[in-house]
Amino acid sequence: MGNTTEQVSNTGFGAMMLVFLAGSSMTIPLASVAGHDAWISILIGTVGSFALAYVYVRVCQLFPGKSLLDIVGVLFGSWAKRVAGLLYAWYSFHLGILVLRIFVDFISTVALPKTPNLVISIVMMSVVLWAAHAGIEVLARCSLVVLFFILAEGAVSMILMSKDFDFSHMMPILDRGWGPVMEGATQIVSFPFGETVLFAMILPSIRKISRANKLVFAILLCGGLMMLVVNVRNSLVLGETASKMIFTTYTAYQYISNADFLERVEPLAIVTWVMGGFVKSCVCLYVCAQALAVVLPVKHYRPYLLPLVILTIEVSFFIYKTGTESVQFALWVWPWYSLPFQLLIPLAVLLIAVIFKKGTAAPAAPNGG
Amino acid sequence: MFMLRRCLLPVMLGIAALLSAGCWDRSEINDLALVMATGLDMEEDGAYRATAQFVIPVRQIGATSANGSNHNFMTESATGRTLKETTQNMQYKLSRTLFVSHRRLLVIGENLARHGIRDLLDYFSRSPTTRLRTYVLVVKGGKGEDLMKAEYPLEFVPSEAIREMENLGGTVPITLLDVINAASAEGMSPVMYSVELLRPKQGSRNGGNTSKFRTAQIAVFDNLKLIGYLDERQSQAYSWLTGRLKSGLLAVPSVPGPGRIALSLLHTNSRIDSFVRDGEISFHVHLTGKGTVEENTGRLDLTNPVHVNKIEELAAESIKDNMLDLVKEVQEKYGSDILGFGNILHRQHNKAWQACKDNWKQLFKEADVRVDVDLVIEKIGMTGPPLQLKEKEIIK
Amino acid sequence: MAIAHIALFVAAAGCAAWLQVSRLVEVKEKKQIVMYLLLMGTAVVIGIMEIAGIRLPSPHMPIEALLKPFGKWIFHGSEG
Repeated sequence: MGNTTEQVSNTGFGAMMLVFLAGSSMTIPLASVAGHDAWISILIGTVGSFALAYVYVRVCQLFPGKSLLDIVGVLFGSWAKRVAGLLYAWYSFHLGILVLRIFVDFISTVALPKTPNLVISIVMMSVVLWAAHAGIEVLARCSLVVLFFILAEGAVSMILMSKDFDFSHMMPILDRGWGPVMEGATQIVSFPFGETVLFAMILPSIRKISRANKLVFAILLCGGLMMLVVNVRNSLVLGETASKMIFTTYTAYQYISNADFLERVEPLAIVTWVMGGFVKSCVCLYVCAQALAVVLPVKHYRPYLLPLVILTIEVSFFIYKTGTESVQFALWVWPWYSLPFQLLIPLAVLLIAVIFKKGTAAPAAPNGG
Repeated sequence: MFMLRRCLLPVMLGIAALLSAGCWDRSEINDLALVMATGLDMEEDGAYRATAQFVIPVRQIGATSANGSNHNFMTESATGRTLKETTQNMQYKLSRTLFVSHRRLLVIGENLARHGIRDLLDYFSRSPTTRLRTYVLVVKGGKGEDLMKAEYPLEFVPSEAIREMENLGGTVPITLLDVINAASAEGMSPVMYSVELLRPKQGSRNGGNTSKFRTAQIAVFDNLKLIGYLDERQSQAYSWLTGRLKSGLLAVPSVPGPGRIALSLLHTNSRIDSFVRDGEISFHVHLTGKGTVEENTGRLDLTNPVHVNKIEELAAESIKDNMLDLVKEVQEKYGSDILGFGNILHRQHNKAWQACKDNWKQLFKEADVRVDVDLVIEKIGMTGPPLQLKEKEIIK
Repeated sequence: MAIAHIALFVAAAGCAAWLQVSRLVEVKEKKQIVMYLLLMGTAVVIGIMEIAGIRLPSPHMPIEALLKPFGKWIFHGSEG
């Protein structure tokens, strides 16, 4: 895949990853099994994700300039590389479909109920297509803008909702025991943290690979903190209802009413969601195209973008029928289904590389360097 | 080619502008019927009746304001077997699309409240357009329909009047979110404030009421059904207990001597501690507050700290009695934990709660409650004794 | 009506494919053409099936069937 002459700045990469993490997870209730203790789940999940991320970051550092797929090729041969390419292409494609579908459901429920889902999908994916076509660096720069907006919105929402905070909603701590909290933590490690494994495809493009370690962990920490703050904010305002609502942040926004006139600020939440979904979709599409460019080795991934977009839109319609199916899938199946992609394959690569002492770069300082 | 590129940006912006309004979901403002408040009732045959109060946009009022009747609002009513059906039936009677996102008030008629509000709560929490901040009220001894039709000239739309009354009533209003949280929390039952319709008094000295409604006492629910109301003092005690009292009024006898002293209560706070000893559950309620003397029909000179202390003590006694009376009433007459004691136990002694939560209804009745009050009278107004008394009448 | 939609869709996809493939043929990238046609072909076929209203099985089905019992066993679920 030596075609990437594109280079991404570290900040851009960081922004992309942060928006990827925070964008979609700020709308859906995270770790809802844990109820008001979800913040503990998020903390544990964040720490857990460090372990997960360490695997693929290390792998990328051992082979600077090569994406995860390239490394598979180096270690296991070109046919393994193609198979891995196919697998990751499917995984990112699947993720892209889910992101689009959830996005469309949200917009459809809350903002545009009469508009046919097809129209919403097409409008969204056209922009995604355009951005992915423009390249990863453009994407990274977009993410910086989006990140700024998301942070501003987060700050504004905290101010507006602060008068409705009721700390008794967070008590009692751990009243349901550690079971649900650990369940929630496992869910969080796989969604959204584990999905950052897709960035292992993009990682080789960043300018300073030696700083990748620090960067990724900083981003994971920031992402975790953002999710924590959003979750706590929602719980403080809504109480137990927070974990029962499907679109928690939106409902919390609906509750804002300051000085009797500052009401109905929900569009802020919708815009944030649109932007976050856009970045996440772009990343998924880009990674999918790159992975497919490996299956039958070619130089350019761009031609694949259009058919992939069409397929994404199409499959998003029948990927699941109703929201209930998606919830079931997300809770029971997704963590285990993602396991090979998020952990097993990178782990296998890492172990083989370390055991057989492959790799051209000197081992970077461990986390903290 | 160059021309094409130059045209591209405006074209894109144009498309974006066209699409962002939404084609299928476009709703012109003058195609919307803005619902300000909804009154819900239950008919004798068990059907729901919803009455919505709509705003009539100002510019469409012609020169038709005869009879001094308020032309700013209109009501429409519909029935149905389920709430959704009722909403649909109402839509059939309207020339514009129902738009409930501005609705800030929900009133429930007494019949429906007694029948049960379970279905209501689900309907409203599921709908994406209903905001959880909607105030919920019970119409005491009346129908939501009548309340919706009552006129109130002072505000643009009468339901605004109800909302403002709630805001001014010295308590934090109860929203739909509060009701849902209370209903779903184990060991708690929701309450709602209520509004009562006033009948115009015929032939009375002051010519009758202009206002058609007033705020009334707290409605007690058990199992999501209305079972009764608290009286004035109990309502105030309840608000204090749950930290909702922003301002209140208390009158104590002015001892020694005749007359009464009226205090206004501010900055009230309550703290409830639960204790579990040998399977006995008890609660200790600490109330704090600041009082200001508003009226003194006695003869005490309040610049004398001895008198003020005495009044403080009397006030504290009175508050304590009210509170104990409230607890007793709730425990014995209603048996429904609206005070949130179960929730407190849950928060403070989780293990004990898990053990007894299935039996909480019974245990709540038997729980021992102690109250202590710390009231400080900070301000006594502009004078010590009433100014109209002669020197020898004042008790210094 | 569905026929019109299908025709429109196939025409649009066909145009895009034609443009892309003709460009690729110039550069003689055989593998890319193959993959591209594969993807586009799948897209068109699925698109036709969707417009025609044929119910397509969700890829979730086999995955769910395989993993859901496992997931439920591990977590015991705090929800019923």
